[in-house]
Amino acid sequence: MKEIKVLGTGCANCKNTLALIDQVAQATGVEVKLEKVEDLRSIMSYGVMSTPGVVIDGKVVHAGGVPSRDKVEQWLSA
Amino acid sequence: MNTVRPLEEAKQVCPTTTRRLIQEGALLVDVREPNEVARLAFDVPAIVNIPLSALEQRWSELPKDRELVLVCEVGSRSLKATYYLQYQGFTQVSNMEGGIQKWVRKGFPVIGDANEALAVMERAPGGCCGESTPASGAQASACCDNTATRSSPRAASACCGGSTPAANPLASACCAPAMEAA
Repeated sequence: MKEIKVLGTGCANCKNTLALIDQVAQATGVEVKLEKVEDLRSIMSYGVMSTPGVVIDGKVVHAGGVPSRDKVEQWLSA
Repeated sequence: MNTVRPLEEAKQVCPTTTRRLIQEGALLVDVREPNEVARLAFDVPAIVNIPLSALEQRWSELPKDRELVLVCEVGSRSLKATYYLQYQGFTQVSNMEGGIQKWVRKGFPVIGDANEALAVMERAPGGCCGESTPASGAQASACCDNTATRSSPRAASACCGGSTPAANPLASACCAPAMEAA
């Protein structure tokens, strides 16, 4: 199971990113553990300056803006 | 891309301590955007301006072997910058809580018209929250959530407007969320 974290301090784009990943996971039947990280210090511990950031299994795969659906599908199928 | 590096809680210093640190050789790093610096700047002998929006590209310009104090308008963007530098391996970094607004209220030296600049900050509602950076959305809510949850509306507006005298304990409590933790 993939562990996915969405880094963001509560902005709309962060919520949209979380919802998008959840949608794609359900649509593709991929099991994920989805978590939102809102604390600044925790966010910065990934060296991410632009949020939302996406972390999959401990690695930052995206920073800044809502990722495209294609991109999310790629992450989940990888 | 990046992986996780657990960070220490950022060191927070007040404007008075910041002045002492500068005397002892520290370098001030102002992460506000150029238009903000043009309006009102810190009048200190050792300062460099790297806007938060350019920090990712330019952090390597900063010395790792010198004490750095990060500053901005109210201390929110500079806190983010402090953590970013910690992530990049800097150990001698602190955040100046309260930003240039608190610095001005203490009567410390600036270049520019402090009264006029404070009035502009008060008129711009986002001035508190660093509206001019790309990551602004996130930061704005971080700043505002912070103040809203931890103190009364009066304190929150004091923080964002910068109009309260420095003596008001509410204002400084509001503008220095991490002081309690320190």
